[in-house]
This record gives sequence, C-alpha cells and structure tokens, in this order.
Amino acid sequence: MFTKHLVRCPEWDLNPHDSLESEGFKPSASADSAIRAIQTNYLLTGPMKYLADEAVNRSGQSEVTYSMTTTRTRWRTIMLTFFALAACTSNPGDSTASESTAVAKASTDSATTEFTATEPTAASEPASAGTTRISAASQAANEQALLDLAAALDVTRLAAWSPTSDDGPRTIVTVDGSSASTIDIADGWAWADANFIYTTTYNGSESSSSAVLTYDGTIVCEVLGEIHHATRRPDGSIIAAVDTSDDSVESPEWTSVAFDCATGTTQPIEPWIERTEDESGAVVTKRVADECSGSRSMRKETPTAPTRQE
Amino acid sequence: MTTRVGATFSDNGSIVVYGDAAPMIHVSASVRARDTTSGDLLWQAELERPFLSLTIVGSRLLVDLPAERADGQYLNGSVAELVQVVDLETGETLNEVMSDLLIIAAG
Repeated sequence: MFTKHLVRCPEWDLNPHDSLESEGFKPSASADSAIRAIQTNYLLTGPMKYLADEAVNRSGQSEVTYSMTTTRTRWRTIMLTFFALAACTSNPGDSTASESTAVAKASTDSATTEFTATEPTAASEPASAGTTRISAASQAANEQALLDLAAALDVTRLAAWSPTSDDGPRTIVTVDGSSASTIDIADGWAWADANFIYTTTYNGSESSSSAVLTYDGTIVCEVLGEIHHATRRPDGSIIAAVDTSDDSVESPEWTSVAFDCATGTTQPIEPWIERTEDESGAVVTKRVADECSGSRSMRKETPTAPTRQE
Repeated sequence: MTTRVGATFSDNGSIVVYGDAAPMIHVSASVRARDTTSGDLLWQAELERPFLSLTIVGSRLLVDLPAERADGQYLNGSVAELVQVVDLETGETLNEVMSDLLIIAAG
C-alpha cells in the first residue's frame, strides 16, 4: 500500500487512464448516499468503512446516517502515507533558479510577534501582554488553539493537522470564521485547499474511498476512489476530479474522471503523464498518452539531492 | 486560492513559491518565489530549518517550521513549532507565531 500511495498522489491530476475503458466506470457513490453529518466531530472510519460495504451491497437507500464508532488509529500506516505523500508534493524541477536575482533572506529579526510558552498542553492561555502559547492536546483545546492561530495570522479559514502522539488519533482541525471543527482521520490521508477538506480512506491495498468536506465538517461528496480536488460551480453544485478503478475486475485500470457530486455522473479526464517510483527510489516518468497510442515512452530520473544555496 | 504543500500559487496564479526538488518536502530549507509568466526569480530564502508546509493566503506566505531537534534531523516525526509569515512579494519575514498545529490550508 505504501508504494501504491507513494506513487499515486491525491493532488495529482496526472494518472494512468485507458480511454478505451472509461465506459466501464460506474460511480460508486452519489448524492443519494450523501452523509448527513451535523456534529463537529467526525470519525471517518465509520462512514468510509460503511461506504466500502455499501459499494458491495448497494441497497439503493436514498439517505444514510452513520453511527459514530471509535476505531484505533493505525498511526504508523498514516505516517507512512503522510510522508509518502509529502514526497508527492515536491515541485517540478527548479534548480535553474536565476541566481542573479535579488535574494531576500528570511530571518527572525524583522517585526516579530513573540509567542512564548506557558503550559505545553494548555490551549491558548494568555500569559503576559502579547504572549500566547498556541499548543493543545485535546480536541477542544486544539480547536481553540486553531481559532487563536487564525486570529494571530488574520485569516478567516484555516485547516491544520493537530499534534499527536504515536498512539493517538490523527485529526484535522478547521476554522471557518468563528467556529472550529475536528475531523478524525482514522485510517487514511487528508489534505485541504481554501474551500474544502479532502479525505481518502484506504480499504485494503487496492481500493480507497474519498470524501469532500466543507470547513464546518459537512461531507458534501463521496466516491470510491481518490479525489484530487473539488470545485463549487456557480449553481452551488460540486464537481470533483477523481481517480477510481473498477474493483470488480482483476488488475483494474485506474481511471481519472470528473465526478458530479450531485448526480454521480462522470466525464473522463485524459491524463498526460504518470510518475512512479521504483525500488531504488528513482522516479520513472511514463507518458500515458504515448502508452495509450501504443508507443510507450519511459525515462528514469535520479532523485535530486537537497542542496543549499549560500 | 490554491494551496499545496510543495509548490503553492498566489490567488491569481502570478507567483509560485516552492522549495527544493527533493523526495521529502521537509529536507528543504530553501524557499523560492518565481513569477509564473516571466519565470523571474522574485526572491529566495534560506530558512533556519527545513519547512513542513508552504501556504499562500492573500499577499502572505505562511511557512510552517518544525520543532528543532537535537540530532538536526527533521524527517519522520517532525512536529510543527513555528509559523513564519512572509511577504509574498519580497520574501521579508513579517511575523512569527508559535504553534504546533501544522497548517494545511488557509484563506
């Protein structure tokens, strides 16, 4: 699973896709199975496991309410995924920086607001004037800490991973205006943009389920597969870029689609290139379009060692 | 607004900010900002330590830095400690906020 998700980054739009097989894709979730989640604390393991089961035994029910169940977080799996996906975010090659351009040195000697520690586990306890420690251990404290951080940064919307211990839950805290929410990521990965929180839960080694949540924690889209990102249309409906596969067949092909969260309809997304990583850590670049047309083109890139510029 | 951990774009897409090309984002202490149209390097900065995330919000760049470790390593297990607020146009540090919450996105 590690290798799989190392090479399949959720935010990539560039994934293998055989255009000849796109007709076989059936959306596994639609607005009919939208989760109604009102409370501030969501355990995605319950819904996502239910979703996986639901995909196997589709009953056609129009609305599903999930019971919240507590599941022990598989921390190490998540951390492996976390750091694997961190690798996915490496930017395109930039080693050709124009060194003659003015260099600004980020330093701490500019106008700095001091935030000094009081109690490491206390939530935003005001100390002396102008000093605050934004640190937390519990859900309520995390939420208050993020509210304080949002205020300190002068932003109205903020999403952050909460600090955790090896055996503790992995949670995302969100702030939307003056309210905060906590989303538990029990067995998967999550990321965000300024509009949505995205979660992917891994159901074994080959399938995964994804959800899109608003910053108040409401799930607005679900699908079997991996959602890259979603966009709200002018009419309020949401469209998501999804990588999915037909798990009913052996060795299914991954397909990139635009998924309409309201209707469940899809449109194919043609990929251009796929980057994978082999056992030596080298990045293998495969031009999917070439492969689809019968002229496969692959080349191997040696991982770039980090360098420092003085 | 688009926010990505590794390479993040300004609201109008005119500026991209990114670290080194590296297998793991938190081995890079170098941050660069580039004009996406001309390709000009607007500024670059060597941070005190490798960063955990880059997030652009408006005209500011939020750089999440990990807690300093005695062994000098910031790989697996790194915990956020400090948010550096940087002027997106100049690269100048405007503010710093202590926090162990690792920013994913802001708006």
